[in-house]
Amino acid sequence: MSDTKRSLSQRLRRLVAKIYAGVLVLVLCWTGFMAVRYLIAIVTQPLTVPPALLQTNPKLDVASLRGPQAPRLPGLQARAPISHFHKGRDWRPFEPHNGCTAEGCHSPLPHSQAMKLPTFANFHVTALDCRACHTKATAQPTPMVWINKATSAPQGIPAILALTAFLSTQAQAAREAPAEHQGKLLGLLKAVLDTHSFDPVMVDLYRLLQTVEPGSPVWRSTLDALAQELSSNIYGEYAARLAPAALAEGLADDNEALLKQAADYRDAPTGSAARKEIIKAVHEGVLAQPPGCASCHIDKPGAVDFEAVGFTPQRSAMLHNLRLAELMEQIRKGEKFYLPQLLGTE
Amino acid sequence: MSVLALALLAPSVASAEDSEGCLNCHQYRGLARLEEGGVHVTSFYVDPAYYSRGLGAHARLKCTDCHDRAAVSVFPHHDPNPVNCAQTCHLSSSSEVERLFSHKNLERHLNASAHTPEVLSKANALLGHPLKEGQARCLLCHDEPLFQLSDDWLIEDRAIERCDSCHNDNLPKDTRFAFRHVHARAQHAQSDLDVVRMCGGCHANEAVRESFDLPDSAASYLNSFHGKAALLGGQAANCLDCHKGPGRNIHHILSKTKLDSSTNEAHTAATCRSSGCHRDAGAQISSAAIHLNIAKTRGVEYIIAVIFLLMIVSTFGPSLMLTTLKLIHYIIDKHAPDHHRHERLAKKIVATSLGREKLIRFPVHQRLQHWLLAISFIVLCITGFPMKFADQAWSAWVVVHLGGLSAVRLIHRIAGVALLAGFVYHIIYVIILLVRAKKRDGKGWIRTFMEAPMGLSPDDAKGMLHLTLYLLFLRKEKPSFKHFNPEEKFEYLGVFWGTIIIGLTGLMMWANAWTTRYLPGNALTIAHLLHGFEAFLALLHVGVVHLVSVIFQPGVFPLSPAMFTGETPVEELAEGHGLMLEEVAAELGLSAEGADHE
Repeated sequence: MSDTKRSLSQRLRRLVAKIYAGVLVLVLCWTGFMAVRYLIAIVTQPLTVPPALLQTNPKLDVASLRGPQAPRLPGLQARAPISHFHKGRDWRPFEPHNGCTAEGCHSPLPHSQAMKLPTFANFHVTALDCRACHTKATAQPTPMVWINKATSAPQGIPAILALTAFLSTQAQAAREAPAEHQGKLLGLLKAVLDTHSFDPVMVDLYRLLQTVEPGSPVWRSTLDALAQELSSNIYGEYAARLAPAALAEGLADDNEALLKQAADYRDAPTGSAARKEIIKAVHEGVLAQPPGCASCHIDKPGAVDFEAVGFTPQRSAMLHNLRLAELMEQIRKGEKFYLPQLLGTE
Repeated sequence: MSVLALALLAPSVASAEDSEGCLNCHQYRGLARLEEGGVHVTSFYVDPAYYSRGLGAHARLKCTDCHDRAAVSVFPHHDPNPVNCAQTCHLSSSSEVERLFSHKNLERHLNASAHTPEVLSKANALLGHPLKEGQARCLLCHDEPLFQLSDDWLIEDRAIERCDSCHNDNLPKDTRFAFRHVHARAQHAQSDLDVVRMCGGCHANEAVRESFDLPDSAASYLNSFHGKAALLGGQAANCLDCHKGPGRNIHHILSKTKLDSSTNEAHTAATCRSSGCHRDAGAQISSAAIHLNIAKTRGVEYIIAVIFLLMIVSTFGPSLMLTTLKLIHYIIDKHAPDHHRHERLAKKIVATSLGREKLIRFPVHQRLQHWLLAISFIVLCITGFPMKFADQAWSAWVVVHLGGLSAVRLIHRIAGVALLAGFVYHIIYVIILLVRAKKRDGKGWIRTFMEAPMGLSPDDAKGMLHLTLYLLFLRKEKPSFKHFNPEEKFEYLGVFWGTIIIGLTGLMMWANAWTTRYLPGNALTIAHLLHGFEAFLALLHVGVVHLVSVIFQPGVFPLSPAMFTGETPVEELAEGHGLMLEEVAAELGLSAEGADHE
């Protein structure tokens, strides 16, 4: 290497070393400052409780319907909202990819007191897309598909329904030929766990089924326990929502467009023509007053073919002939009804 | 959670049937609505797993045991009266005769306590009315009770197998429910942090504290020894352990001004020393700070904190300043006038094997002692600082990954003992060296100490001042030093000071029962403070000043070989130990000027 090059490389090394030294100076000054600041704070500042320790109990208000629950400190148990008492898994039916509710136009509990049965209408929000009811039906029954909640894309029958169907139709066959059915059973259960991560018992049952010998007494009783457990997990929680098949393919784009329209609406002045235009465009084809409960919960065919979307024949029969739905119609007409026998005797 | 799955496999499952069919609707998470005004939500969701898996004491109740039957037997449900926790309910199972039960007896405890219904109602108002009008004030603290299930399912299953051997069809009993009910009472219903969160709901709220003139108990608890243990998942006294008092109902918490309160001065010693806690401690333990708020109390703890603040600033500050100035000198290429001559000299000396030997500043024995100190110091920092800064997320992460708080404490104490053992060994080593030097040179003790390589003398103070002025560009000549420069000597003696303080206070806290038998209780508080502050000072000096000089400093980076081979880099020798170089050169008959002519 020539003297010039050597001298250049030495100078470069020296420059890098000086820059390094400069950075070190800054780090030292910052460290010293932080140390002194901490010490002064000990003797002058009031003590505080870590926010994560106190803000872990979400209130029952609209604001807590949106966004994830506040992070908890490790080891803290979930607490029910103060005025609710009943503990449970995340009670908030928040759907981050629902274009109608995600941006604040409609609440995640969108049905207001103006209608007679807001609560019963709201309890469908975990399983039905808004458009399942608030779109005019073009056929009877209306072909429906499941929409993945995470991606807003169409998907097949939800894993939990597929597993329920398996257990109700093939449980006997599985008992007779356990080794042949073990793979499918574990595959379905794993798919459920991937979408229903909140249930530790299901995780445990999966581990048991994985570990024990297929067909053994423990395996069989685990299968029974699984069927029993599914019944606690299945209602309303599918990690997907039903939407009209005709709208399904474009739903993700629709939701994106809704988010944009919501943003435009917020930016437009209050009462402006622009806002009115946006409202009109967003609600084109949307039914303000959809058909009532009995349109679906009625003898076949009804508005929805429950069996076609994955419910077992028994569950489908129950959903079609839902006596309660007829009674809900009574309430909508302003009449009460009593079901003393429902509560058993005193 | 395995216990839950296996519970389902067992024949007697602690579950309740939904005999009234309420869960047909109420198991849906979306069963909720916005109230008038669109601000508040009323949720009607009930987790069916609570009842199907028998997860708590209320799992065997029917819905109408609490909720007004007349109101809910009609659809839509009438606005039912708020649940009255003191009402009578029916306890029944398929195997037992129905019995009546009520929480009414707790009313008299609450009425006599600091948490009367009027106080709770006022607190509810100050908290922004989380409870609606008429709702039981119990809900400020309580929600649906959960059994604390054992992590080891075998414990539950083995116990129940034994119960079931008698409690069969002839003597029916829901053994799993009974086991859980009893097992739950054998331990805390909630974790320490859950208790703090429950109590802190009011006691950390500014409006509530102002209205009732309360101190910030939650924050001061979390700043104390117990609170830090709670934050890190360890077992420690929580609010209820002290404020309930032994033998009292948990709802009978009294203000400390009441004579029969467990936190009244007259009773605190007994409260601390109740079984399960500090059984062997002296009565003075009660004067240790359970709620530590240094800035507010302005007591002896405050004075100590201020003294340490000043001490840290006045020792670490100058060290930091000198280190920073040296780096600035490096950046601007400012060297001592003799620097290049000393550099040439150093290179000449290290070219000879005898010269290299003479320039070894740290023999093997000393290096081994250093490594014992370094390793124990590192372990102490890794295990100790999470305990000091327990409210930080990284602390919990470290503690979890080291095996939990008990493991961290054990490791910390072992490392502490190693540090103290090394310290004692070093003291003996130094004494032996001084004795040998005294015999050899025939001088007095003080002279012998001052002339030892690491000994401090008035010349070191002058040298330090000279160095500071030079680094501040107030003197042209840089002082030259021998074997060890004044900075190194101060750092070395600082370790003596620090180890004594940290060691003694650590031992005091470890043997807290002994400490409180012979010393006042606030000796523990002071020990806790001193230990933490001194550790902080040590970390600053070692982690910042020392590590910069032996690892990060340009010319030394990535690592000084001094503590591996005993040899100091040439540049560092030239920069800081010129007198030593000249001495060795004179012994070897070498000179720096000769190098230019060869």
